[in-house]
Amino acid sequence: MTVTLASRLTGLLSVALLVLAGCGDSLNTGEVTGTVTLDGEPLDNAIVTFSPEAGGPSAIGRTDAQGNYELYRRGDPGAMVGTHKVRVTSVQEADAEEVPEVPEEAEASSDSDAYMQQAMGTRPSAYNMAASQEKIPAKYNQDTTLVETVESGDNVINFDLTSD
Amino acid sequence: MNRHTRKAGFTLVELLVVIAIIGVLVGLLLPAVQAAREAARRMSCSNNLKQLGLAMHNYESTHKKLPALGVRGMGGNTGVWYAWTIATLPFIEQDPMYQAIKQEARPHGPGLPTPWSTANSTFHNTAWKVDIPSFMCPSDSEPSNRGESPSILNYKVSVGDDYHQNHFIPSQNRDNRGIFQMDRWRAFADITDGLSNTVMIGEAVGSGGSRDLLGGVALNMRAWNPAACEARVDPATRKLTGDVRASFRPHTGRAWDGRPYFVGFATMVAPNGPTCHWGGVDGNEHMGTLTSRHPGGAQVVNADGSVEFITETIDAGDQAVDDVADPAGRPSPWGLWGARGSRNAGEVTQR
Repeated sequence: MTVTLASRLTGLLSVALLVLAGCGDSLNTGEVTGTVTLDGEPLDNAIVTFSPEAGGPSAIGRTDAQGNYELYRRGDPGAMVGTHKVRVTSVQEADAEEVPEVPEEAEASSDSDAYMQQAMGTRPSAYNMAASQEKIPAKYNQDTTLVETVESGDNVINFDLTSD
Repeated sequence: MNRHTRKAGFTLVELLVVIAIIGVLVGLLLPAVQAAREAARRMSCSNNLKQLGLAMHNYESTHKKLPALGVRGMGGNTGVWYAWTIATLPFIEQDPMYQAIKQEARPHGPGLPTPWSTANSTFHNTAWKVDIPSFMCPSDSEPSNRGESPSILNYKVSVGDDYHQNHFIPSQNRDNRGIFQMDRWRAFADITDGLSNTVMIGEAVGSGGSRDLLGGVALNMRAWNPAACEARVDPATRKLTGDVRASFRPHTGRAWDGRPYFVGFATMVAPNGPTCHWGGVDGNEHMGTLTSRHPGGAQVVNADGSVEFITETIDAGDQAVDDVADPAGRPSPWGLWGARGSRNAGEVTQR
């Protein structure tokens, strides 16, 4: 009967801390980094998407000027453990003939001429011009054959793409 | 004797422990109180969604079709698009405002102001610039710049799992995959995937500034898949990177502008993700996303009128598959979320 108030309270406190510590991420993921090259050259500003074949959130990364990427699921690092269908897509260049854009300054008014041209709906869809601009071959994106396995822990997965 | 008096009080250690426990309890309780307040706001938002769902049903009963996403204006503003919101006004007990707008819009009348007009006139001050409570979700705060934002709209209609057809060329050559499209009036009979399986209206938030993950819009996405939109989120800061919408053009600020940027969303990016735009101006293809300030997801009302909470972890399929100009009745490549947006693609949806 020599249990003091202090030791009882510290016991209670540690139980509370243990309960709090139990709240964590339950998804089974592994961190993925790597390098993407096209014909031996590092691929800049390409988007690498790992889509789990068993279903689940896609993990997405964007390459830097050295072709390095790191996968994230909307801010959380890593991809689901398992096999993934991988697609490498690019951001397309602006069309030369596009309607000039409204400058992004607070003074710019929506009533400007360029804006009204857009608002009148005279601009056709950018699709036809853009479809031919995907510089990465379709076998790596829309008709992909790339399949990779992610294991828990750190994964390094490099892609050496060829354009022939 | 000395010992006895010391026993009666507390030691420094005991006091510190008690203070620490009180600190922990306050730390636990305060967020809970905030969560209760947010839960109440969420209920208010879901009530508004339910009312808008009923308004759509009443509109359909009256006109045998649902309203179009946007229609061309009359009078002097034939090149400007006006939103579905105007059509629902008589059904959410805003008939006086509807009559005022109708009076202004009649063919030989003054014509409606442009949807971004915030001028000072009797019409502007009594109708055009009035924020309608049924269109606002209290979980979102007001955008900071209302210079071209006459009226707030926190509820957008679904264009389905469709981005390519989601712009406003006048001679649109094909129907899109969702319920709502510009210049297209759909009947319930057109929703063959089932009214309870198809998303009709969802939440959208526009506050937080131009780079906010939910309130901002990433411009110049220049790609045809939702992965390119997700790639615009900086993993470290969870803010949008690259070109973003201007502060004076929040995407929830124009309840009357009938273009997807302001009144529509697509079921491609999973809820509470980024919103993206093909180019730099409102008229481009728009990949709007279901967004809310509720933790964990956002609410929708299905075409049958049922309100549902969609979690942000809903299966959104292979995010790197492109939207194509002619989907030819393919099932949605964007998982359950894409399937919930299409009205007639024939997917089997399991929740």
